[in-house]
Amino acid sequence: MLNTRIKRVLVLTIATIFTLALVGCNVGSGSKQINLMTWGGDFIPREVINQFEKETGIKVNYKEVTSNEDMQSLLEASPNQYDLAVTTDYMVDILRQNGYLEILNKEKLSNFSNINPVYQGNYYDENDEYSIPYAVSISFLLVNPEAVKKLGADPITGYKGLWQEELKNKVVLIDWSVEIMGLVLKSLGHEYNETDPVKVAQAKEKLFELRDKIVRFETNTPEDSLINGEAVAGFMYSNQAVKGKVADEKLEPVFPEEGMPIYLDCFVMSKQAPNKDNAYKFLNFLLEPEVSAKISDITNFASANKAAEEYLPEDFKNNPMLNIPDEVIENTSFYIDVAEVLEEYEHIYSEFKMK
Amino acid sequence: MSAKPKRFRTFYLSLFFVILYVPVLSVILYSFNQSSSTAQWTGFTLDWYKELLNDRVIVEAFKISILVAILTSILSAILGTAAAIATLYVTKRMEKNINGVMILPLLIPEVALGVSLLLFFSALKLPFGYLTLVLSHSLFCVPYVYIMVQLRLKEINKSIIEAAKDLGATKGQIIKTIILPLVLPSILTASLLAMAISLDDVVISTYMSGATSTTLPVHVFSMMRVGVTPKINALCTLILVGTFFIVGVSQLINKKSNQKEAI
Repeated sequence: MLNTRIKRVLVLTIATIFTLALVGCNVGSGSKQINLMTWGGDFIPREVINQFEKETGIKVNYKEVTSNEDMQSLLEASPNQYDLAVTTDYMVDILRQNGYLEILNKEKLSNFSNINPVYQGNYYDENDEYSIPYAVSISFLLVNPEAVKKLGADPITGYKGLWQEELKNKVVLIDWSVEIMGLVLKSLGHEYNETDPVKVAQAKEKLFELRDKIVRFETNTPEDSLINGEAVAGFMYSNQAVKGKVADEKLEPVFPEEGMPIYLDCFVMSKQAPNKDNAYKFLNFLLEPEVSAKISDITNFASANKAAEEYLPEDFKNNPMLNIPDEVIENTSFYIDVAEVLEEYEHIYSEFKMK
Repeated sequence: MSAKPKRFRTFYLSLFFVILYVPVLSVILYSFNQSSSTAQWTGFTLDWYKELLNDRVIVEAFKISILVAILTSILSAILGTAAAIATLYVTKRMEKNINGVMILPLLIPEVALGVSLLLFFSALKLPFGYLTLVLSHSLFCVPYVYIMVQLRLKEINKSIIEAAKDLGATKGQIIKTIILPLVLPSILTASLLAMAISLDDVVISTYMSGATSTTLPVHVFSMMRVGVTPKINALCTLILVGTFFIVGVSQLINKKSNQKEAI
């Protein structure tokens, strides 16, 4: 009896697996679809994708991944499986150099001219051949001006303000060495990812002076420390600052005068993409001003699409953290060649945290 | 026994359980919070559960995860049990070798395993999706089944098998009528464990899922870029309830089999 039961289960399992395998075969080869790979959640809103699917009849398969490196491995292992990916600036550079990216045919992208020139011609793609900027994030300071005043400190206008004695145990920071070393380097007037030993030593000393001002290192929800009053100033990513402002009206963004970091997530196309024509249609659709505005509204990421501005809701348009002014963007820079400095920065940073 | 050590024991135990379960409880608590930030409690709501159940992507990912977990547990139960029983019929040295090979997938870092499977399967031109997910999950679930079943096999009284042999039973008959019924409880608990491990996996699933088959843990992790809402707390709460249910069932199975043995 046991025997027949086991046999039945065995046959069923094998049959199911093979059926599923056959179902899986359809992916990537049909003509009315595209395979897209990027961050999950609503990074590319399902609402917008549904609209595209309805209008064109092209199905969008959305593969979610957790890191840029995962996208790299997946794309390089099976370049003919994926059409489009949205990946962060430095990964565009790596993929381009490794020869996995298609040079985009601008004739098929009539809406490309909607892209704000301030986001073009960056180090990872000097001539805008391979990539289309999609989501913008920057890091800056979120400050509670009233509380700063109450502590008797001067108003904070840049990183320098964080070193005030009055702010002891009142600052929250993102917990990443490159980001924090960058903050210190900028406050000294240097560039990001400096390798000059003299400047790095200088930054190290300055960094250690900051230690007693910091109440918490927090990467995921630094805005919470400001909301619950534990901190009066924090260095964080734009989407976190937006959330903080929503929860507490008193909080104000401060774009440091010394400059700040920027991350651009960009669309790229695989050189061996199986559905190139459909992929172009999708890209051009996303670049339409109305669609782009809708995406920004849903994701709370600043848009690189200049033409989208007039379609943005009022409160979005008037929020400098979401509709970032061009002069703020001009004061930003990318983290380039992180790998070269990472080890040393990590070393300094762990010493700093243990103090 | 004096009162002091006893009090210390109680204190230590409570501390242990507080540290273990308070974070879990706070996850459950905040799934009912109106505000999307954990910094403040603004009131009780079930909205996040509503939003969760209306989230097509999460529901879809959940279905995929469950299906993969069930198939994985069946496949690894079959393979693991077969391998464990096979060790009864080989030399001691061979058994040691088999042990080593079986444990290997647990020792290789998941990222290395994931990338090498990715390269291997793309070289074989296998379509990425359910098939690759189930195969790769089984790869690291089989060792658990193997270990658990083998432990149970070692407990079986050898004289039963020898008696069967004396009475003229074939190998097949012995396995079918003696060994399998005796190890069945271990197989069941091991498959439940395999299911839990498969449901948990992120790293290998990231590499193995095709363009259309994102599993639930991968979906949750990939949301970090956009930001996580208490919807995920609600999801965790539901999963916890489900897990307690499965653990309860496996305890029940174990209890029953122990009772049988006592008789």
